[in-house]
Amino acid sequence: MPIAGPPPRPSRRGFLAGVLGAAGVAGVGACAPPEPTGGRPVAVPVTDAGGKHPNLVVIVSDDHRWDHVSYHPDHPPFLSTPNLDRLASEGVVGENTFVTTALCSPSRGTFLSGQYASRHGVQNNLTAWNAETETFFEPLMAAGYDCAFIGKWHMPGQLPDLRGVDTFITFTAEEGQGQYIDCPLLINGVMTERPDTYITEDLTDLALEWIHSRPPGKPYALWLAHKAVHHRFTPPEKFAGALQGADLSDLPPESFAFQSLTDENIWEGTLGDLKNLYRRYNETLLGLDDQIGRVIDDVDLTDTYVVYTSDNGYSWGEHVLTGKRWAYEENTRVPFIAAGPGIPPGSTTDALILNADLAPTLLDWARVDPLPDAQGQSVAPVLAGKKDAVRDELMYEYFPDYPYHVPGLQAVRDDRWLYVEYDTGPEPQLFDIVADPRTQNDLAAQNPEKVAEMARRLADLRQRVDRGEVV
Amino acid sequence: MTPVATPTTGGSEKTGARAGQVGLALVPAAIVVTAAAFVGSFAGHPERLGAAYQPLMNAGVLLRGFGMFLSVVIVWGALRSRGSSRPVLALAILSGPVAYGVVAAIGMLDYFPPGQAAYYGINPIFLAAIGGQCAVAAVAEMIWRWRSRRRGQYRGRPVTWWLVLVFALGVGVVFGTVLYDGGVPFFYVYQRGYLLLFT
Repeated sequence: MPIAGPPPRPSRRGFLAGVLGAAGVAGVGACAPPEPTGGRPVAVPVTDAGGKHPNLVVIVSDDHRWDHVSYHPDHPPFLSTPNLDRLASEGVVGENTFVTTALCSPSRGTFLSGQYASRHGVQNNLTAWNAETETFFEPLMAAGYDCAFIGKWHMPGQLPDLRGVDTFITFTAEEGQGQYIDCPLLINGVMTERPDTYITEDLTDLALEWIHSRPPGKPYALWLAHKAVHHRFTPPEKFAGALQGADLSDLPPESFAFQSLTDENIWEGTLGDLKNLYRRYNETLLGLDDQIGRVIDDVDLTDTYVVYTSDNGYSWGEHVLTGKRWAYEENTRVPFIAAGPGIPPGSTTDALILNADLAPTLLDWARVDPLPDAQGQSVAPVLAGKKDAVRDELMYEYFPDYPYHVPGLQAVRDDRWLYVEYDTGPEPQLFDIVADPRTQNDLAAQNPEKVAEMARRLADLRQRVDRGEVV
Repeated sequence: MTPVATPTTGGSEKTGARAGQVGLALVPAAIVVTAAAFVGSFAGHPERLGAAYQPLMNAGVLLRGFGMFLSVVIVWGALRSRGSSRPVLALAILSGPVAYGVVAAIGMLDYFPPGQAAYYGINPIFLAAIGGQCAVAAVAEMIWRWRSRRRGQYRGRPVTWWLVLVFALGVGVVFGTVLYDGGVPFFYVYQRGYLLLFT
């Protein structure tokens, strides 16, 4: 079993010295890629243990909205995420990071493949993963990386024999959603009971154990996908009740305590008083932050890139919604932090970054050929402060997911406007995000020309996405 | 059920009384539809209700839930005292859940084709509502019997094994569909039914 233990605990080298020393080594794109060979990943032999290929650690959470981190200027005053703040201070924060579909399964498919949901096929939580879809793990493994997938898979269909990973740890409880307490894990094909465990901590233990057992000099890529902070919002003992006395009055005015009983929210699994659920969500988040701190403590940012992000955001009462799926900011916008060689500590970027960009960016950092079907772009130069942006607009898509009351929709967003078209139901909507960040005022009726322009842009993006182009 | 003596009346009076009983039996449906319409009209518009927005919205969704799950309690005694037939009593039990199911299915037409919308009308909440109303009806029947017996209007036993059974089954349905483990396991059963039928 690849999870060997107990491994030696590596010492952590000084971060500052690492940044100074690695700034030149990182050099995104400094190593010319090999000649293309027809679409399959090209192996780049790992002959030098001196850090030619950096380690990659991606931590993905679930339902963590972008403004619920204490480094965000508008974070709830009661919320403190010291470890995410620390990662942000050691790296770059992507302030405008979005998912192309705000739903677990499609977004995860996009992270792994770099493709839109309409291309990789996992369009909602009921459509199966296509085993032919290539993930970033394959070229990494071909290049000599040890690769581990640890955590939430949650894509419909049979669990794949995921190509490109030598360690695959996931869970199948509750249709792949997992459970916070004592969640059985499928460890390389063997279902294993995990008594007396809390899932965020358990997955972190396994991830660290895996990191510690890597052979020296061989690069590794770790995907650590947490269940937290998805419902049922179960914090670890350490943080249960930690926010009991917190002032939670920042919930939107249109929300109300029992809004979870409306048809629009009833299937989110969030029955109960909204403030109580919200409190537990934040306490669960405290637990997640705590465990992320353990990972940060253990990796050396001079030779390891660490990314933290989430599969989608979450509405806490905005538009009387509890959940995700819609094109509104609370659903589509996610936290994004990257730290590692060549990334200026404490920096921020307002470039539009997508979940589809993750795979190309990881491969860029690893200096491995990009996935031929990826539609995202490497934002490595942006994160290194060497480029301002890779796009000026993004397309969002959502496919109906029974029995949730959300129509199929697609949207285009730039740095000022959000335009949404629905397959059924509401008329197209237009929001001025700068003037109306909570997207409360639909300006479509007053701005027919802008609507027409945005509709054209959306149609163009739709065509490009459907053709499989990079967007 | 032990029959209750009702005074002899003329044909039109009988028809009127039956209509009145049917009307009573539809009170749960009226509660559900009215509360749903109220919530649907004002949700998301705090400016229309001012400071009363949140209490009224909460009251609206809770009232709808009451109409679906418990409301038979407010009509059962009256229906029994008027000698309502079993179909009318069944209507009283089912009208709230069915009203929910119909309204929910119609609402679902905005998002899914008619067959899938119809399937939505029999979702776990609908099933739980039927279970809830059955359990409440069983309790209401026992209370009605007990009170009628004290007044000398009923000679049977207030508590019978089958009333207890109906209560237990009703509670069991509520528990199994929406309460056990937060309703998550049964939701997946329902979703698998969807996949079986429509994909």
